[in-house]
This record gives sequence, structure tokens and C-alpha cells, in this order.
Amino acid sequence: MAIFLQSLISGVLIGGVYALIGIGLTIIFGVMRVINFAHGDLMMIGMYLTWNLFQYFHMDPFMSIVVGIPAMFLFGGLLQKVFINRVLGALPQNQILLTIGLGLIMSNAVMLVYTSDYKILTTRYSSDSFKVLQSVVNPDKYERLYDKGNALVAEALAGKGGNAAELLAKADKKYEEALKVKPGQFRALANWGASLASLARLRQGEEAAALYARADEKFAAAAAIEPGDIDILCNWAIAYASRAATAGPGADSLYEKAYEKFKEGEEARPDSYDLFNAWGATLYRQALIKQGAEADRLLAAAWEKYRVALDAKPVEEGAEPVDTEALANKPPAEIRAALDQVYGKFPFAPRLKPDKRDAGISVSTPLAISFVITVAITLLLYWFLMKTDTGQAIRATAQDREAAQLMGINVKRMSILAFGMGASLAGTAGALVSPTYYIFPQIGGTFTLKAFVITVLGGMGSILGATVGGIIIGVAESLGAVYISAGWKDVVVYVLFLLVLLFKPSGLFGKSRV
Amino acid sequence: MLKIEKLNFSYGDLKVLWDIDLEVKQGEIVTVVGSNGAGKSTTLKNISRLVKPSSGALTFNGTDLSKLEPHQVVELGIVQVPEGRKIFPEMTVLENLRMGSYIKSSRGDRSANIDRAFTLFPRLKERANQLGGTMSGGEQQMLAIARGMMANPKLLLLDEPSLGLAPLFVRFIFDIITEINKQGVTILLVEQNVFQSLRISHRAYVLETGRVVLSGTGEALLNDEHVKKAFLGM
Amino acid sequence: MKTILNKLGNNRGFSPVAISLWIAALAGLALFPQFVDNPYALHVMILFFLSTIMGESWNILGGYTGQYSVGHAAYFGVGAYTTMMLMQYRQIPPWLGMWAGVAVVMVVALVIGSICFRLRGPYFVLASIAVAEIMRLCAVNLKDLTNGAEGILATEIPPFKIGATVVTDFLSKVPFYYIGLSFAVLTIVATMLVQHSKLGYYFQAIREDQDAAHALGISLSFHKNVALLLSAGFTSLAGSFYAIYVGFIDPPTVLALDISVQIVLICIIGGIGTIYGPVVGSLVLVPLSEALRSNLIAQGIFKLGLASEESGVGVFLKENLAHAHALIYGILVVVVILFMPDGVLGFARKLFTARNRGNA
Ligand SMILES: Nc1ncnc2c1ncn2[C@@H]1O[C@H](COP(=O)(O)OP(=O)(O)OP(=O)(O)O)[C@@H](O)[C@H]1O
Ligand SMILES: [Mg+2]
Repeated sequence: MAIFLQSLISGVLIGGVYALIGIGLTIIFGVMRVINFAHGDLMMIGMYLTWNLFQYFHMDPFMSIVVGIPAMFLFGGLLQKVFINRVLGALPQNQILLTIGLGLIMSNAVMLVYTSDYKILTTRYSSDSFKVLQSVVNPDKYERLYDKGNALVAEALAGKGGNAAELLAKADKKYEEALKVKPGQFRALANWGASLASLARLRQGEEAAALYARADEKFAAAAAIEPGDIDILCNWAIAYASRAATAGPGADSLYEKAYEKFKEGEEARPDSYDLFNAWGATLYRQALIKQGAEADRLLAAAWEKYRVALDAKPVEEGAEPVDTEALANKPPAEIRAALDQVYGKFPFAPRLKPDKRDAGISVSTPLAISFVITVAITLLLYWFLMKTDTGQAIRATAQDREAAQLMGINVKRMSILAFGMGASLAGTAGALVSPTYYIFPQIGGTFTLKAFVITVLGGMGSILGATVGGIIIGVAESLGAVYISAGWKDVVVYVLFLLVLLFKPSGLFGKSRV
Repeated sequence: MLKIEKLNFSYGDLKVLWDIDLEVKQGEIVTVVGSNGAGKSTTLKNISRLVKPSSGALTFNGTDLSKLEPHQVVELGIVQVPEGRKIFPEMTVLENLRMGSYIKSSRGDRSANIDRAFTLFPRLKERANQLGGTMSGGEQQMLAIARGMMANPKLLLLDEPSLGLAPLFVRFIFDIITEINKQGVTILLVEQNVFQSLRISHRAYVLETGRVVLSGTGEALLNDEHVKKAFLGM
Repeated sequence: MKTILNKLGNNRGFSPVAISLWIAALAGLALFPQFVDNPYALHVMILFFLSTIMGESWNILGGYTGQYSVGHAAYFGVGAYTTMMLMQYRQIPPWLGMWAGVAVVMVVALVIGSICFRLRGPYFVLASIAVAEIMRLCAVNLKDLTNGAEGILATEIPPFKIGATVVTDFLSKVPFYYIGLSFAVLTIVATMLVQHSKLGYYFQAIREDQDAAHALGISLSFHKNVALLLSAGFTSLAGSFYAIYVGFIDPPTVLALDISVQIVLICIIGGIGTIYGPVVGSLVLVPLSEALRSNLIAQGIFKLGLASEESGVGVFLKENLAHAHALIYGILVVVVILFMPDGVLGFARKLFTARNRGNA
């Protein structure tokens, strides 16, 4: 399910770019009845334009369309005026060959200038991604609730703002629901306990005591499932310690309970940095409310634990290992001063062990941005073609060239506009994929073929068809790559193409023209 | 207003028009009648510059048409309602009308002209949002004429507007043509419905295999023996 | 329709001048290796023959029958692969393998034909491209069969024996020269026979107007398929010949869209639907691309003093002209389509008749 959705979404995203290419081709075909075999090469030109703007002017590839769209428009218009216009009445095969020739010239001229080396355009966000649809992808209701609870707690603990209590209260509900769905889950119980203890720290008096009691309960239940779990014991002990800090006269017995948990932990794992560090901090905290020898004894014990913790701590690369023996016998005053440094700010907050579960669908950031731009451009284009006089004149020319002339429409100008728009759209598509694709002079061929498939699928000349066709091809490729194989995915596309040609030559969307 | 002198035209090797002389004066309804393949549509196409003549002079109010592109002819005020209607099939009735007023000089009058079209043809108002391609032949003919009128033409060229229409409807169309003419639009009509068209026209020409063989007032031609025999079955 | 058929029938028969020219040309070509043993010259001639075979084969379908296939790489490649695979994996000598290649290609062509001939005009062109691309992707992906993207390298071409006598061991270019020449003559003669046969008239009737031809009772699908079979068969021979001559094939060199386009270009540049069009096209294209590849043109420019070898322009030319042959192809195509839509041959003919008219 997750894999399916993952490839579906990336298919739709890349399909948006395909749609742009297809729309460009379909507009050109609609207005001039010429199949533009240089379409992919126009896209390639767009890619190189973007690359140059990025390389030499440090222009963001997505921003570069501001330059690319008008530049490609002029280039396309020029091609139409100088070349295509002369073959409008000629045999279709001559038109096809002319555009093939133009494509050859473009790709090989670019090759002469830039060689056939692959160029890569790496932006800060080229390989970024983000997650969506966590809840949909996770079909297990328990896991969904549990993940949600964890996410809330994580947010509360990381949060700087004042709504931590609110988040923790919500998390409380989530864990409760989760465990109703699937009772006796160790992780949920453990994290629930931790979250309750954290919430308790933010409350006072009776309310806090009740929360601590509930946390206790959860920890106990969790520990019953996995007796030696170090994290839970550590959190449990920290919960006692933080409760002791506000308990007044009953503090000592709470500290004792904390030490009990630490000892249990020590039995399970005698070399846990976290455990001994927290243990030392707890002893130090208790020492602060004592005087004289009692305090000195606790401080010495704290120092002892701290040394064990340092021994257990993995030495970071490049850092000197600490010689803990040298720290052994120190006068109490020095110990106190050292511990003030170490534990002065120790947070007595339980910690969550985050689960390394890969929930949600990862979406490539550049693809997502390009999709948003694609949608915007497509909508703009629809608006232009449907609502403006010039746009309608282009449609009219596509539907009946002669009648359009009789309306006073300058069809030669419309042809130039159409080719310019087609080139702009192809160039934009090139710019949009340039952060994610290799850039090389011969890349156009593949995209020309894709553009044909898309337009035929949607019905030659239909813009809506090309839009949907683009998405379909994007998805078919993406699913084909996952469920068949990357090597065969293009075969899937071509077979689809032939089937449509044979059985529905007017395309999936009938003959709705530009 | 429109003057055609010695117009010759060929489709490739096939010569279709021979020395056509034709004149339309301001305010007239002039009809060109002739049998199939006589060259009537070709004459209109030459006027609209959809095809380029091999020789001859075409002037409109003194302007030489021979250097103009089709769209410039429209801008001069010559609008053709072509044979076969040529409605934009994937556009609604409203959009078709809107295209009719594409030229700059007529855009300002667009909404007034749409109202006029809907008054002339109330049927179009009912169908305002229907796609042109799905309309009946008669409706398409109404739309074609209405669309032609959107450009504020000075001279309206009508190519067989009655073709394929029911008799009652034919009368309606001819009434509309008279009505349009009364509103001040000069009309050059091409028709095979000789009786009806000669009845409403001021003057007429008879075209046979690319040559003008007869011309005169509508009334005179209606009474002409040759016309009676050839076209009216009398 | 009748008139078209009659008009086409008029150029039947051969004039004595044509026949003597033919004999002279053949004799010259046959003796060529006796006088020239420069391997590079032979190489260029072999490429010329290959190009002629490819062009003539396409011409049968594209030129005479009007079915613009831009997917002939499929037949070229499948022929090449069949011959190579049989030679490398089954030790079947190539002069047998290439006929197996023709057989395989014909079966493939029948399948392709049954798909593509349901379509017309631009749709046919697109379908032919798609089918060829499917073939290429199959060659890339069916690694067990074709060795995938790595291609097949011929380790050794077995000598050609009749009985016990070794006719040739393929160690020089000369045997390839004669094979190329004979195949080229074979395709040209076959094309001539087709052109002047009843079949040929039907093909041309279909090219002029499919619907009219159909109305006259000419079976469209039958005749298109026959044209395709002939065309694909000869293209397959060209593919096999290429494979043996070069000794290495992989999907991009024998199955790519470029090959299909190049095949069409040969005819376009020479003149579509004429016997000598592909010959003229090859005469233009092969020497041109070879001259560019070997930097002859750059050298020529220096020798003529048009640019100095040391100048910026000179360095640029020397470094880049070798890679420019595809660019020149592109420019040629554009020029030909815009200014001589009937190809070099048609253009020359027009010039000739225009001059004659001027003289008269
Ligand atoms: N595009 C064309 N190419 C070649 N010949 C044409 C073309 N259009 C018309 N013709 C020929 O020119 C002649 C005149 O045609 P035209 O359409 O002007 O006749 P018409 O008087 O309008 O006839 P109808 O009443 O049938 O519409 C006819 O013989 C016709 O076959
Ligand atoms: Mg007519």
C-alpha cells in the first residue's frame, strides 16, 4: 500500500511536467496540424538555458522560468516564422522531416557548444524530500494512534512555546485510544508513562500527584512486560526524582524509589551512560536539600556515578578520552563545584525513545515545487485560451482555419503564437526537471516520444486530454518501474500508446479539440 | 462599393473563373445565381482573399484588395458567411459570436451586437451555451449569419444561406437578409434558390461555368426566358 | 485514377543509353578494388553501398507505397541481431544467418504491419516509431538473449567455403566490398522490377490516394504488407551486412531512432519514390559525413587558406567539425525540405527542364 501510494504520487508529480510537454505539442498540432518532432529538443534547450542561468547568474532553476518563458517564446515564434510557416500546406511527411531536421540542428549545435557530457544542476534542495499522508499509509489503527501520540510528545518536548501541556494532554488521549485498540503494548505504555510524567511536571499539587500516580501505573505495566528495559527504568526513576523535587518532606522516600529503579537498571546494563548520568544527577539533587556529612556523602556518591557514566560514554571522534581515575579522590568542595557545573541544569524530564518507523510517503521537494508551478501554468493557460480574445482566436484557428480567417483573425500570427507557446511550455518543462534530471544534448528524443504518447493518449489537439494524458503516463511509468521493472517501464508506455492508437485513435477523451 | 473587373482564377491547371465583372453598390442586395460548380463560392473566396486570383482587379470603396491578407479584408468591412456555415464546433454559441467581433473596431459594440443577434434569432439565446458542433443545420445557419453580423460589416457576403433548410426556414432566412439590408448592410448573396433570391435582390448576375452570362435587376432576371428555363423549371 | 496508372506506366522499358550507362558503372565499380587498395577508400565505398541498400529498401515502402515508416531501425536491428546471435552463440556462418535474419524480420514485419497499417498519416509514423522503440528496449532488456546494453562482439568470422575450397576468409575489405556491391545492385534491380510490375502500380496508386485505390478494388492491407515485407527484408540484409562488417552491435548502433531517421534522410535528400534517389542521397551523405568525421573538411579549409589552422576559428573547426556530421545532416534536411522538396534529384531535374524551356 505504501509503495503503491509512493509511486502513484511521484508518478502524478512527474506527470505534471509531462502534461506541460504534451500541452505544448498539442497546441502546435491543433493550430497547425504539424507534429513537432523537435519538441523534446525545445525542452532540452530550456534545460540548458536554465543551467546557464544557474551556473553563471546563480539564478534558481524555478525562478529562471521568468526568463525562460519569454526567451523560449521568441525562439519558438522565430522557428515558426522562418521555417514551419513555409511547409504549412506541404505534405505531412515533409513537415515531419523538417521538424526532425530542426531537432537535429538544435541538439547537435548544443553538443558542439557544451559537448555531450552530462551536466548536473545541484541546488540546495535537489535531494530534499518531505513526508505526507502518514495517517493514510499506516493502515494499523493502533500504530496510527501510537505514532500520533509520540509525535505530540516529541513536539511538546521540543517546543519552546507554552502549549506543551495541551499537546501532552492530547497525547494522553492518543495513547489511551491506542491501547484500547491493542492492549498491553510495551512501547505505548512506556511512552505513555513518560508523557504523563512530563505533563505532571507542568502541573501543581493534587493534579500533579494524580498524574504522577498514573505515570507510575503505566511504567509498572510496561516494566511488567519487559522487566529489564533500561529506558523505561531510567524514565521511571527520573519521574520519581522530579516528583521528589516538589514533594517537600516526603522527598527522601521518593528518592529511594528512584534509586531502586536505577539499581534495577544497573543490573540489566551496568554500562549505560544515560542511566548513570541521571543517577548522578538525582543524587546531586538530593544532596542539595541536605547539609553536612549527609550532603557530602550524597555528593561523593553522585561523583562516583558520574565517573561511571563518563566511562560508559562513547568517546566522540577527535575528543580526548576522559581519565576518570584522575578524577577519583577529590576534596568535597571541589566535587561540589564540579557537580554544579555538570548537573546544575540537568533536566529531570523523561525521554522518549523515538521509533524508527518510516511512516508516510516521501515526496521530493523539487518535484513538488515543479508540480505546483505546473498546475499554476496550466490554469493560467486555460484561462488565457478560454477567456481572452487572443486565446479564443487561437482555438478558433485550430477548429477551422478558414473560418478563423473570415473572422478577421490573422492566422499566421496565431501560428506564431501557438508555436511560441508550445516552445515556452516545453522549455518550462525543461527548466522544471533540470534540478532532478541529467542534462545532455540528446535528452530531447525521449521526451519527444513521450510527448507523442501523451498527446495521442489524450486525443491530438485536446489540451484537457494532454493534461490527463501526461498524468497517466507519469503514473504508468512510475508504477511500471515498481511493479514490472525499471527497464521495461518504457515498453509499458509504448504498448499503452499502441493500444490507444489502435482501439481509440481519437484518444481517451474523444475529439475535443483545442 | 465593391468592384470586380476581369477576374480570372484557376485551381492549379483548372481554370474556374473567366473575366468576371461584377459590381455591388452601397445599400444593395446583389445576388449571384448559378448551378453547381459555376464558380460562385470561388468568386466569394477571391473577394475574401482566401485564394489569390491569377489576374483582375478587386477594389472596395477605392481600396485595392490585391495586396491584402484575408483578415485585413475583414477589417475593411467585408465579412463572409461561408458555404457550409463553418461554425467553430468546440465553441459555444456565445463564443462563436464573440469570435465574430474579433476585429478591434467591433469589440466595443460586442454586447450590443450580441443583443441584436439574440433579437434577430431568439433561438440562439436559448442555446447560448450549447456547443456549435451539436446544433442543427438551421441553427448553425442562424449562428453563422449572426456571427457575420458581429463584425459590423459594411458588405456581407452570404454563400448559399438557404442550402439544406426546410422551406419555411428558407423564407425566414430571406426575411432576415432583407431585414439586415434595411439596417444599412450591403449584401452580396450567392444562391441556388433563384426564385427567392431574385425576389429580394436589387440586382443579380447569372454565372455559368465561370463566366457572367446575364445581369440585370432582380425583377428583370425573374422574367428572363433563359433564367426561367435554366433555373426556375418553367 | 486510370490516368495516374497510365502515367506511371509510361516510363516502362529501358533506353539503350541507360543500359550502357548501367554497364559502364557496374564495370567501373567491379574493377574499382583492382586499382584502389587504399582500405579507407574501400571503407567509404562499402558505407556507400550500405547506405544505398538501406535507402532503396525504405523507398519501396516509403517512396512507392507512401507509408512513411520512421521505424526501419527495427528491421535493420533485428536482422543484425539474428545474424550476430546465430554466429556467436550457434556457430552458424553469417551467409546463412543473414537469410535466417530475413525470415525473422519478415515475421516481425508481419506483426508490425498488422498493427501499424490500421493507421494513416501521422498516426502511422508515430506507431512505426513506437514499435521500433519497443524492439530496442527488448534488445536492451532481454539480456540472456541479446547480451543487453553491452552488445555483441564478433570474435571470429568463419571463412566462406564452397565444398572444401575457401572462397574468402574476410581478412581484407575486398570481400565486403563485393558483397556490398552485389546487395546494392540486388536491391536496385528488385526495386526496378517492383516499380514496373503490376504490384508497383498498385503501390503507387495507394500512395497517390488510398481511398481511390481501395475503391478500385486494390486491397490496401495486402499490398501495404507486401511492400513492407520487401522493404523490411532488404533492410534486414543491410543490418546483417553492417553487423558482420563492423563486427560489433549494440542497441544504440543498430536499433535507435537515429538509424530510422537516417534511413529516411537518405531518400529525402536524394529524392523520394525514385530509383536513383537513394543512390544520390548516399552519394551526398556518405562522403560528407566521412569527410567530416576524418576532419578532411577542416584540412581542406586550411589548405584553401579560408582559415588559418592556428586562429581561433581554425582550432574550433579542427576540434568540432568531426562531431558535426549530425548537425550537417540536420541543416541538409531543412534546406532540402524548404528549397528542394523533391530531393536533389528532383531539384536537378527541375533546373534542367527550366533551362531547356529557357533555351527553346
Ligand atoms: N479547392 C479546390 N481545388 C480544385 N478545384 C476546386 C476547388 N474548389 C472548387 N473547385 C472547382 O472549381 C469549380 C467551381 O467551384 P465553386 O465551389 O466555386 O462552385 P459553386 O458555384 O460554389 O458550386 P456550388 O453551388 O456547388 O457550391 C468547380 O468545378 C470545383 O470542382
Ligand atoms: Mg459553392
